[in-house]
Amino acid sequence: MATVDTPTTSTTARRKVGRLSVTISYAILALVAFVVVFAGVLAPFDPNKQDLNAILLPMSGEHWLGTDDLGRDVFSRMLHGTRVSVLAALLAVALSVVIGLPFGIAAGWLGGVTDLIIMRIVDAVMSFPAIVLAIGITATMGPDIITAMISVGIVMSPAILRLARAQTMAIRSETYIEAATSFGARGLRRMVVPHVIPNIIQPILVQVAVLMGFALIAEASLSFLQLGVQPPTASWGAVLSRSYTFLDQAPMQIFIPGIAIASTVFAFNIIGDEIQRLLDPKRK
Amino acid sequence: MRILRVVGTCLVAAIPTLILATLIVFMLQRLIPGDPAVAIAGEYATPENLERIREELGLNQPLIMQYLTWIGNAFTGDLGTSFQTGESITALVMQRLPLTALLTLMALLVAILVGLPTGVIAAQKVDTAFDRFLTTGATFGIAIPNFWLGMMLIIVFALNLGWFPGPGGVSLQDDPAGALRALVLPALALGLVGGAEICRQVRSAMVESLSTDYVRTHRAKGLSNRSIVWKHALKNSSLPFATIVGLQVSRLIGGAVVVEAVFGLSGIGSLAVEATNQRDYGVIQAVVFVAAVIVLLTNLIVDVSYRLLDPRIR
Amino acid sequence: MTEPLLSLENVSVRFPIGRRRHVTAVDGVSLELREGETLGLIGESGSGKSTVARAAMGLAPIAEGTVRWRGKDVSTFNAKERRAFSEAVQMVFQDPHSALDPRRTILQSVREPLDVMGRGNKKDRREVAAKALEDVGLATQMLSRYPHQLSGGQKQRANIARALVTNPKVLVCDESVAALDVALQAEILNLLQDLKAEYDLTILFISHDLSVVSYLADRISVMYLGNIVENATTESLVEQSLHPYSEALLSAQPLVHDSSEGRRIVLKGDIPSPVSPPPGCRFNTRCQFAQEGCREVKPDLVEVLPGHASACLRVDELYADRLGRTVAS
Repeated sequence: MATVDTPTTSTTARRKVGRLSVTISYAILALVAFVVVFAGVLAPFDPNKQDLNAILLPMSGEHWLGTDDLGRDVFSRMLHGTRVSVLAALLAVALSVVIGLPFGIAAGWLGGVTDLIIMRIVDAVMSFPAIVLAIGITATMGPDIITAMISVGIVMSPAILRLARAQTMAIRSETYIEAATSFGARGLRRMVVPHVIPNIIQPILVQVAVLMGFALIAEASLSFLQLGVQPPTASWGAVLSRSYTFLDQAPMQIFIPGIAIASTVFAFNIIGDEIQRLLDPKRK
Repeated sequence: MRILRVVGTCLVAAIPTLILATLIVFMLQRLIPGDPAVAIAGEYATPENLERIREELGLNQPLIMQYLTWIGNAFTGDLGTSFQTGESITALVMQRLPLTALLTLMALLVAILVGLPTGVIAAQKVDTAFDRFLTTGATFGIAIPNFWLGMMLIIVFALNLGWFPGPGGVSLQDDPAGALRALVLPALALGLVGGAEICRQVRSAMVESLSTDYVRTHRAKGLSNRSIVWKHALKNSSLPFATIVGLQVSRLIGGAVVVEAVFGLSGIGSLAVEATNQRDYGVIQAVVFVAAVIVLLTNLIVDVSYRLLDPRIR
Repeated sequence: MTEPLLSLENVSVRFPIGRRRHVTAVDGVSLELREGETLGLIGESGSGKSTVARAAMGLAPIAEGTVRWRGKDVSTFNAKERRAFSEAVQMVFQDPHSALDPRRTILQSVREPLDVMGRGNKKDRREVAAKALEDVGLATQMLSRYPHQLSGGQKQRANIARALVTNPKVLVCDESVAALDVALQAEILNLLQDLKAEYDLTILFISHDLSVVSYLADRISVMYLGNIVENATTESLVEQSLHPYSEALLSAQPLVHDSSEGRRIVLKGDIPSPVSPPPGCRFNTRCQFAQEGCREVKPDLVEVLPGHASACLRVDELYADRLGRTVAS
């Protein structure tokens, strides 16, 4: 009957594991944010400076993570790449919120035909594997990181839209909404901004955290396929893509960007779970 | 025949989505910067050449006619011709599709084999240290880019241990056994990440199912824990499970595109990448279209099984 | 007689349920709210009494009938008249907690009607809101608090304050004390009495609790399954009810009803679903006096005594003594 009576010891253990991964995740995100801001100051070398006399160097005191096949300092490229990757992911997530939030609220609030039309379009967008549609859009419009992240933002927007719609429908029948209606509050300025958005935003923040992870992986995927960041700019995906061409000579250089992506995405997911847990009224 | 009626209902319900999806694919063509004819033929094309391309693409016709022609052709199996090679795009796609399909299926198998048992066990031991360990592990699993995991697998199992072939061309048609072997690592790369996703989703579905009165009644009746979890609760979770698997198919197809590039596999993913480099817009469009059709078919199957499994939906 | 402030004439409200099916929540209800009075509207849950309030406020879709404000049909109002109307009629909702937006401070919530109506400048609005909060007995430090930091009674006071900031003529109180415990109920009821005098209010007070309604109201309307079944002054209703349903309600009130008179009427079963109401008199399925005719003919609300109307087919034979006695005196 382990499922019914949980021994207190393992509950404590669970909390400890939980707290530890949450703490680590905050630390990772703080570090990433720090690097995004100070990449230029922290990087010991120009990330794009080639030195053909120093190619594929192993890790050393001078080149902490070695150099790539063009003799560029991988550590510096990773620092600058962090900035590019995170900003690219932010752009995609911001776009998905800009699309998803208003249309989701409109669908949930207005219902009826508006809802029907919006949800049909959402179904249609969701009938594409997200990354395939993003590749399709980027490949057609021409490879470029901005284009790539706009595509990613578009394919991610249904996630925000559906959530915003469900949340709006849930609060639409709340008494405080009816009260506001009773004294004539309506429209964007008097109803949506003061009442709807603040009351649906928390679950959306959880989704934003999860989408940040998705967008980082999407950036890496598209840049790996050379549809995203264009040379010589560094990003996590671009560094990974480059190192893959000399896989057998310097396997460590594949390891680093992968770990950077995985741990950042992990941190975003854990923080997302954590916000979710804090918001869940059943768990105190 | 109930099943035929159910399939019919679901098909009809899927039609508006299908039409909108084809509209999206069609509109991709509109995204080509500048004049599509110039983009296809190159800047130095002769005016006659451009005119010929416009004629062939039907670019001179009104948009609605272009769409109707395109969709009519697409559903009779004609996806146009490649402007780079002059080959039939349908033939190109059909030549590459089996490998991607096989890869996706193998990855799906891996994902279910990894995700289902771990998800069920985690749900059974919910809120214990073991559950937390599995969940945290799964969260790390979904954070790993599948194509990077593929590279790691190549380094370990292909380059160092030599158990599996490294990246390189295999042909399903010429060497089925060799191709199957070459697909093991990419299927693992895709399937392990997918398995982590399935684990998390199955866990929450099972936690919900295990907390129902129905399960509590079985427990009170004195049924063994094993029978409750694996027979009754799992059966009760079969609807969310169908959704989870359906969702995973879409994710795996997307992942396959990138993983194929890592392993140098000639599926529709690498077809799309090659087409991008050659600006072969028709091929890109076709790959996106085929991927959507596969996802829509999967959704249809999920939808049908929903209606067949759930006595409440008629 | 002076013109009623707010009146409902044969108002019906229907809500769609599924395809082409409707539930008639309010079925041809007429009410008159006269200036300065407190009208109690009483009924079980599901009787449609809250929907009547919402219909009067324009919050529920009116299928048939007319709502009049100072004799004028509100559906013909232009934007300016509509605004004046919504300023003049304010509502205090049932659940004090969910009626306040959890993400806004008490000041923001109380000030909001003024913000929406664009009255005065920000400083004036703040002062009006603070004054209203003071009138309902909330200290100034409550202004910057959030709803979850207040007690139930404090939250209901804030709700009342919000209804007062526009200086309304009519206050519609929908089960405004039902969510509170008895001691708090008395506090809020007394507060409403005081505010009524201070703000010159006319009150429509809706409740399922006869003791609460009879404490406040000058007149009472009794609702059952979307219909008004009895209409009288509070005194007349309590002393000489002329409808079996009201009698059943009265007998359930030990404090109000003179127990020496004897019998306690226990209603069988629940109120029927308004989706498929019983034919004839809506109350026939639970009425101990129901006869064959009650299942066929729907009784109209008829004034049987001056200012006392009842919708019962057998009113003359069932209450002959009461009718005779009153006529004689």
